[in-house]
Amino acid sequence: MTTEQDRIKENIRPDAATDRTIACGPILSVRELNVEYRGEKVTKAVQNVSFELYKGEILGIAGESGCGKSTLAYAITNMLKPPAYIKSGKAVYSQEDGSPIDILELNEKQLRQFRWTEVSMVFQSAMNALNPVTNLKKQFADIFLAHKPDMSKNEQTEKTLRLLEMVGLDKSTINRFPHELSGGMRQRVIIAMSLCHMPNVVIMDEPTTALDVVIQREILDEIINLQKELNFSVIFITHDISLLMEISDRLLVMYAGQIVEQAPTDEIINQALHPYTNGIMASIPDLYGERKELHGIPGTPPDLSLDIPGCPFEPRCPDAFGACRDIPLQKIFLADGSDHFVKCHKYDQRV
Amino acid sequence: MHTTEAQNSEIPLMEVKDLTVEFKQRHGRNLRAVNKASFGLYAGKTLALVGESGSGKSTIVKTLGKLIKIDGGSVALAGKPVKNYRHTFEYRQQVQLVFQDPFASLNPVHTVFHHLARPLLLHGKADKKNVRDKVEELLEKVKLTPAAELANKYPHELSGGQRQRVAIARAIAPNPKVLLADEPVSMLDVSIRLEILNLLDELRQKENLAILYVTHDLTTARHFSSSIIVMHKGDIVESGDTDAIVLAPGHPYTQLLLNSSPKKNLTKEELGKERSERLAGKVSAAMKQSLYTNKGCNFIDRCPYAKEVCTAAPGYFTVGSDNTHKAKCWLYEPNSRQ
Repeated sequence: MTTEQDRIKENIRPDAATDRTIACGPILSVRELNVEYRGEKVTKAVQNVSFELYKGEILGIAGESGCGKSTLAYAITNMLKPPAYIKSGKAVYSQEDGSPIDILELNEKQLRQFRWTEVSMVFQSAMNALNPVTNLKKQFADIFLAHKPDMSKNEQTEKTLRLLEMVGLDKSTINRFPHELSGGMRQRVIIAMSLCHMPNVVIMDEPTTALDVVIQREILDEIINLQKELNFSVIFITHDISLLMEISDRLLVMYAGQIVEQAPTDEIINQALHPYTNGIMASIPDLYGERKELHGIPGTPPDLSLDIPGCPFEPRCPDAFGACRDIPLQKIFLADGSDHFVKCHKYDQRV
Repeated sequence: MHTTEAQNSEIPLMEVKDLTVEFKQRHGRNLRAVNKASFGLYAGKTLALVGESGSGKSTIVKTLGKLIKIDGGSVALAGKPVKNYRHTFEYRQQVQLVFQDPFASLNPVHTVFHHLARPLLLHGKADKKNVRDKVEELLEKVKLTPAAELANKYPHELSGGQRQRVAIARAIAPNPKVLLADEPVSMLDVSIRLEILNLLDELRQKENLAILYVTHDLTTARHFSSSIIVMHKGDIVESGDTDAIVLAPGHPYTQLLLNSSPKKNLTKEELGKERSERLAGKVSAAMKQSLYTNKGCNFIDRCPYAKEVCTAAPGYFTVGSDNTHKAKCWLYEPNSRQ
């Protein structure tokens, strides 16, 4: 227990709230990742994805269903099951002592050690992620024992209570069964579980999607508070870019298995470049703004089992021109050394 | 487009008065899912029903769709009272539903054609000879083109948005007067939501439909409805013109809903400030406990303004100068207003 507490203290920097930035180098670095699904035709669900996650930041990944965002999350934690497989790429995690390890190369035993303690995951459907036949005390104990077999009963209970309190749940919750809890409470339990071993990275895949606005807001506030307090890094995956505009530090926009735009969140809000990003930003109505005709993005995403030589967004794009159909896309950086890139021929002077 | 003038003088197409629905529980009293709800649906208008999960929104929809029986109060359609278990077929020709989950509401072993031909034939809107043309006509109405090709597809071949369009086409097949849409876009991607809502809005104008749009999202309610009712724990806590509710919310629960909605165009500092205000506004658990009696206002345990008077059930009081804007909250009791 003491080691955990020391680690929490170490991680709390006085400037954590204002300076959740890039100072410490990436904690997780994904390089040229390709994931495919076997089938009659191979589906290229994730194509050449590279990004960095820095210590203490909230990285948002936005995209509509079928764009490969969940596949990406499963891939970087090496949790994919057949028919999905990783074709190529790396997910390099920097350990506490600074030495890098490739998550995708770990074997089963190493992975078991690695999960929960270094990287943990919060899944979308909290109803299915909890075991319906045992109470929460037992489920928390399972997680503790998996990594610390000699932890005493008292210690387990004490830690569980502290975690429950941290996510805003009552102490009596510990003896409850999942069916006695509401959706929001279950999601809080899952978040508490993901923090059991104080991981450095928490991946959240649509953590608030099944919840209504009030509960969603409470959970988001909770995540931000915990993140500030414990300074872990978060990858927050959602289809609702309006949430990311509020909570993330940097933002990746995925479309058809690729990252089509990456930028600090403020830059996306002020100056989104990719027509798809602009499209989804325009699809979010403004609560207080003037009432006017609003439009989404017409059409549907492409079939990823087909070869697309040019831009996958071309058929739906309002700004498409001749080159978009068949010239391969490249990352265009807004400026030298900038963190903001876009994959769109509109900004490519060579095309 | 969104004016509500003359609404008061008009007669509602569907009038709901003191609607009460209860569910039996194994222990103790019945659970009152809807408590004396009254509202009206008008031809060519959209009414948004807003509330969190468990507030009774879907129960109202199911009751009006005659899937659950009424336990108290009355529902009238075009002036005629609606009874449990009677004239259901005729009723459903007038009142149709669109459900939340387009993945579950279509039969996976039948084609789109089958889904649309059935209501057309059942309600005598087509015969065996012209049914294919009528189905294609319907598909074009909901902008599923090429219609001939789509009619032969199975649900699994369609995207979520397309499936929801099929569900809408099926609902409008018998030429209904009232459409009850229960969270029609909450399962869809953000980029597709607006297209579906625009479609519903267009149908409302073209077919002069009365739409009940059930949602937990005040933002889309703002843009696609002319008036809003807000539900909390089975009670209608506030009702009024859309702009009045969103821009000048009366009930503390409506204020909470509005505060929780994602906002556009706010800076990080403004968001942080809002967040700390929200945390400061939370009422202490001890105070909730001491006031909570089961008899008074249902919102008392979450309300930042809770006081002694709230232990008695409030009535509906007018908010502001507009007498169509009402809230079920003691804050607006004329005598207590300073």
